[in-house]
Amino acid sequence: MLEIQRLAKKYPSGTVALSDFSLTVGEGVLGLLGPNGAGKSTLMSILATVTKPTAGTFIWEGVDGVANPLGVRRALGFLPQDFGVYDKLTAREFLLYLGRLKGLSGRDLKRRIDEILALVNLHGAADRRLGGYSGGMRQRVGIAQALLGDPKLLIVDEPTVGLDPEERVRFRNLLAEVAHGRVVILSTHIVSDVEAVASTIAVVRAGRLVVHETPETLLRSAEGKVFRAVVPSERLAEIQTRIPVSNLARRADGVHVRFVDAAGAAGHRAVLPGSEAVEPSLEDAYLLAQLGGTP
Amino acid sequence: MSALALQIGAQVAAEVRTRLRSSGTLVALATILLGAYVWIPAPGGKATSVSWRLADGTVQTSVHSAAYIGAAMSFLGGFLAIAVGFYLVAGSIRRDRERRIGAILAATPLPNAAYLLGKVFAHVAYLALVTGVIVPIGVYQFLRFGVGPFDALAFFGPIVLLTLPGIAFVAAMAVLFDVAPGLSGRMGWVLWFILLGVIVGALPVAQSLNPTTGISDRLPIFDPMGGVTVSVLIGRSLPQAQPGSISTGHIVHQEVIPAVAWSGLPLDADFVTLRLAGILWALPPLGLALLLFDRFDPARRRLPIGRKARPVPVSEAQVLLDPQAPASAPSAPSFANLAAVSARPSAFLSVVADAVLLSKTGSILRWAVVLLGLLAAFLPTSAAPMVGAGFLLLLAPLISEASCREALAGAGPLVFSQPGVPRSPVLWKLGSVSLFVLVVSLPFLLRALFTSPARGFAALSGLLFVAALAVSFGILSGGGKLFVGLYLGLWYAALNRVPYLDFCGLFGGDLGLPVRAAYLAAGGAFVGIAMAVEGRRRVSGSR
Repeated sequence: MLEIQRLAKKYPSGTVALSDFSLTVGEGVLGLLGPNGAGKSTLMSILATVTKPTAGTFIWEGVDGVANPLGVRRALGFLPQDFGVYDKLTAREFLLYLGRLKGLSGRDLKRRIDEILALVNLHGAADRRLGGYSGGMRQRVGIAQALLGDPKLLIVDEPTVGLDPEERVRFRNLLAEVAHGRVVILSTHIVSDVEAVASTIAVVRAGRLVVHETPETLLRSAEGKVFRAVVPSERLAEIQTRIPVSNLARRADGVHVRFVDAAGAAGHRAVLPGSEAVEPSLEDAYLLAQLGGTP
Repeated sequence: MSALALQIGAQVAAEVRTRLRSSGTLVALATILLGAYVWIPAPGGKATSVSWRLADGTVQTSVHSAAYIGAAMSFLGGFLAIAVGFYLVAGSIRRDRERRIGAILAATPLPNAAYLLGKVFAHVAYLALVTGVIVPIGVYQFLRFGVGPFDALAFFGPIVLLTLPGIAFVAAMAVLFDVAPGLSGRMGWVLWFILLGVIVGALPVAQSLNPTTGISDRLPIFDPMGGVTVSVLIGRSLPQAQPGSISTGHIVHQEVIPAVAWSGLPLDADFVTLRLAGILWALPPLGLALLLFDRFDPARRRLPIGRKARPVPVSEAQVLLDPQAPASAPSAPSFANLAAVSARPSAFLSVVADAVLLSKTGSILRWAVVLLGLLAAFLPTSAAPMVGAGFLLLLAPLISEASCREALAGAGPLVFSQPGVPRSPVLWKLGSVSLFVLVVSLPFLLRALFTSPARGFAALSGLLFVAALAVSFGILSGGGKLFVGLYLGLWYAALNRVPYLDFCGLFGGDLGLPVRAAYLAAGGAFVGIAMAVEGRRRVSGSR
């Protein structure tokens, strides 16, 4: 449904945010993972037709999104990573405005706004000015506007930032539900969010696509490459400079270190002879992908 | 260096850098350069910067000595500092608040006084830089037309002494307006323009009047712009001139004005002391600002004037305290069960939606504009120009931020990714601002049309020109102040019947079709520039 073809983006400052990025995305949730500055937000911004790429294009259901951005916007719901709202409008007025820009009008729009506000749990504060909203409430307004036009392509950049745990779970469930028959692209740092809803995962590093797999395949590729060891706390700093640590916890018997090693059992014993292999998590698999340890 | 000086220095550096990197500064510099160039007309013509009348009715001016050019430039510097400078620097604290930098600053050990002082010094530094461009232009004009040696003291002395107190006062007033409830935005910009008449004219004139003679011959203590001070000094230096006959500014006379030798403004101890002491006029507004400053604490934020705190209903308060409050929350619906919607995005609908939003966010000003528009349509012909002037005055702040609203709120990606927004956001904004302007001005527009087609076309082309100016300057500068500052200058010139500047044909300027068409073309050109800049920003990702 969505075909990204050799997208590249170079900013006037010389920063290359994306380079030769190609990907085909089908129905369901694509989890986009990558460190800060990997190019995720630039990619999202290009797909949302807000930024023009330097080279390449993307095709949404036969429509070239760079040459014909309006063709994509008709199907689009977009929640940017960092967005502002008009503080002097109420949530209902703000959605009314954006709804009209989406081409909705009349009673349909008013009913839709009521329903969406209930969906994001803001029905009780719908007529309060946005200037008085908390960060989490603003984020939910952002989610509401993204869903307002019943989008076929939903692009959400760090959507759970600022949400409390309950709202985060609620949003994850909503996203999983929305994904039926639609393409959803979810960019986040929170691997557990991706794990909960993504049907495929794309890992981005330095503007390039490193891996595009299902979560199961990613996990399988990490098998035998994740280990655990208990080390004295005074050795921790040295160990962290030598091996990629994916997690650690301080206990009475020392620091429990979880680490990845692309070379598997052959590689890790030299550093930590007492370590044992453990079942990989998606976080481990992501770390391995970042290090170039998976195909 | 003390910690306080370091803190203030850091603020000044950051603030000045930010401002110098904005495209608004470029536009302001270009306008000031052009204005300064025009300010000193060539000798032997009908235009003068300083002129006076003798007892026999002869009007004279000075030869282009360094003293004459310095005096003329000092008057321009004072005017720029007071009238334009405010619009260049106001809104700095508002920006910190809106961009959420305020909360970060509030959590630092920076004292309130240091923060506000830093802002004042930053404004002073920036305004000195921007206003300072008149100096090289003055030197250039001396090199072109100069007579006699270049007397540095006679040239620079008046510029520094006239401009500096104005800059300091405006810097402090801008900070005060930024922290005063309801004055940090568009309402403040209009209020400042109205206050200018008092600050620049009424108060200094009242102090300079000699009660015995009834002539303005005493140096005023409060005269931030220095306009009255200059007049008094010129009068003292020209005892042969008729009292009250001194004209300063770019004046075009009926005939060629003879030039005579003139020694320039007398830089005596009285004048120097008064002007240097005039810098202290920055202290009262700064002190008041310190009292009003809420340190970005929303709980301490005072409501804008005229708005009362609304009691929060219990159910609503529950929701605010606990967004998951189950008391009134119905069970969460499922997305799949929502009724289907059919979207028909169109540029027209988007233009209307944006015009409606423009009206909704227009506060009490919109009703004042609607009322004045109606009055201008139904009052007798003799009263219509003044009411129309009020209408045009209040229109400026209403539409000033329409084209940069998204940039100011950080809502650009949300809005510009909507399907109804046309390919060119500039044209979209031009459509919505024009629609809004034409709707609120419809009564008086119809009256003009029924009076005569030429007047109708003048009003229509003028209003469309204003809409184009607001949209393009908003896009170019990323804020509304540049438009408001320049537009108010244009409005003032039109009100004073400066030739060709009666952009709406309200003040008796029967300019003919070619001039009206030129206004439309100028509006189109500004929009074209804004479209080019916006397109570049889109490519560079800086929109």
